[in-house]
Amino acid sequence: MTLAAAAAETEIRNPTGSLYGWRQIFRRFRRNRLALFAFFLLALLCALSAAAGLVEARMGLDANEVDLMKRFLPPSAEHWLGTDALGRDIFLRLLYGGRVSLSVGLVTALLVAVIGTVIGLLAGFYGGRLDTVLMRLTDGVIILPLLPFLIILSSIDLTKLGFDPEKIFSSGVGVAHIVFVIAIFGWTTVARLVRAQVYVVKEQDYIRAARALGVGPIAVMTRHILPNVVAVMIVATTLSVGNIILLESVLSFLGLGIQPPAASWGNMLTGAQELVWEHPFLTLYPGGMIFITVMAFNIFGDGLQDALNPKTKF
Amino acid sequence: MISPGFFAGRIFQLGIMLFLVSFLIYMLMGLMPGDPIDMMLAANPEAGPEDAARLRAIYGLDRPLGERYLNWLGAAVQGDFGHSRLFARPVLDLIWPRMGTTFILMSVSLVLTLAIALPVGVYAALKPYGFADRFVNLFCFAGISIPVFWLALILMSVFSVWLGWLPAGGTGGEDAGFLRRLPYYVLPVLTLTIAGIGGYIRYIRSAMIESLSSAHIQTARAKGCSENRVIWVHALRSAMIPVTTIIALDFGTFFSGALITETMFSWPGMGKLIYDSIMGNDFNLALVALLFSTFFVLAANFTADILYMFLDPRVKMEVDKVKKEARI
Repeated sequence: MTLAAAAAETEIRNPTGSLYGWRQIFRRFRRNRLALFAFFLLALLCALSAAAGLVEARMGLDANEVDLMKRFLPPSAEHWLGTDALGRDIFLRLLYGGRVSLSVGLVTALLVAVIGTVIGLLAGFYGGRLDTVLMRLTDGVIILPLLPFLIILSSIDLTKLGFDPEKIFSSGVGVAHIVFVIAIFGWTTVARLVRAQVYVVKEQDYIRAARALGVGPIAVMTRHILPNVVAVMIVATTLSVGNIILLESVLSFLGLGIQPPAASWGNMLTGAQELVWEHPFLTLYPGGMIFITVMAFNIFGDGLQDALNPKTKF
Repeated sequence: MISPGFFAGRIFQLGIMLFLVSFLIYMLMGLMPGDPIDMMLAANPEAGPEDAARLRAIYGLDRPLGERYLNWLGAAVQGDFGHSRLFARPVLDLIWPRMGTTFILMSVSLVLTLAIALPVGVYAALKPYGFADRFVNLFCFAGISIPVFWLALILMSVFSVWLGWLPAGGTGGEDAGFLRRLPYYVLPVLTLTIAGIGGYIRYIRSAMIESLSSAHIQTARAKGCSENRVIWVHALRSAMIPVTTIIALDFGTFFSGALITETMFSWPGMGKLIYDSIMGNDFNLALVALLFSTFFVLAANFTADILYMFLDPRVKMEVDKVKKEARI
């Protein structure tokens, strides 16, 4: 490949501007102080949850250890936020709950991004009948009442699907179950946005040039179209994380998502209804964490959207 | 303007969709934990294995799944939706009154939501990225991000437990007068409004910004309309076209949208009925209730399409665009 051809290809691959583009995006994002704050808050939350094990060892406690002599202790040097109805340290459980909620949110979002991008890319690129079929499928999923379906799918009996009954009660399978259930319904937004963007991009001259040069459809999609869809993909995915965390917390709250003794912010609120009067903080902490995290993801995603597509900004 | 063929096509699509959804739910119900016959037997210690086989034959459970579904569908098409196991009553007798209570709850909160969201959204659109807009924006994010069940818990603990002003759940009885029932509405309506208003404000705001920047607004200003008239008559009118479509679409989720709120406040509506039936393994009731909810979503989509065509005769296909934007 000659130097000129290589240079031309870099340009084709990233027509919105290579390094300079990202730097500009970063600069635009940095100007939005609220979104920047949300980003750092999320980074802090992730770091804290990741360090849950270290903090646990340092404090000399066990997040899942039940001690009925220590129920409902007020905050102290030993238990920073006090203890819950089973005498477990609330601060540690919040960290572990964050680990579950954040990783479910991020992993599901990743899965949603992959499914949505593949479907959106195929529908947008090939158009025609495939597009019709895929978009009908998308419409069909959107039409379904979300919460009832999530409740049904998260309470189905996995043994009836042929899973090993001994394994389904492990916490790993529980997390995977919830991730898949939410992903089944979550991919539609990404798919629609990616498809719309592909429709715009594929009409541009450099795509025609690539096709005329004999580049195969897979290569055109992955090397020429995908890089120009990334912005849309990132925004849609980031904005979906908050929603996913909300859905996980509702399911866990109803006793269908993450199963105790493993903590999640949602299941820490199960049964809180009865304790509201005597121990209001037991309700406040986990709910507040969900609220703050989801809001941070939404604000961060919104800031990202503004930075990536200055045109859509009113 | 709208041909009979269009109607027929859409109604045909609606039928196909309902058929597919009912099949999907029927299959999923078969995957739910437990077995209805085992549950019946558990309630009766004298029942033996022969009784199990007999019951299975009575309920047709010894047949293959596909055949069972077709039997169910055949009866359903003729208006026989079967009985609820949990309530021991015909399913339709349970669903109609529940729809009524849900409808009242949802309409009251929709009216309240719009009454607040319209002026706030318009105001925020007047100076985009001004101080007021930023403040409103933050508030909207808070509303969108709050977990509904937690919001309900907080409202309950503040207004029912702590202050003791309002009842924490129920409807105050069906025979009670309007004034007796009124306090029972406050918390569920407040919950639904807080959780739903953010989306509406943001949507109204962006529709208003778009309409304020269009040419007919310049014309109105140029001919000397007062600023108030420009905003509230000329701009709001065209901004209301997409907003109306959103409201119509929102109507569709009425009957399952309040699942969490209704469950938290023990409000005897469709959402709670769906939740209770799924949790209580009342498969038939859950199936029919979900099918009805889906039907309303589809019907609302249909209405939104028609409404949009009437409001904005210029574009016929534009409605898909609005729907897509609304879901982002």
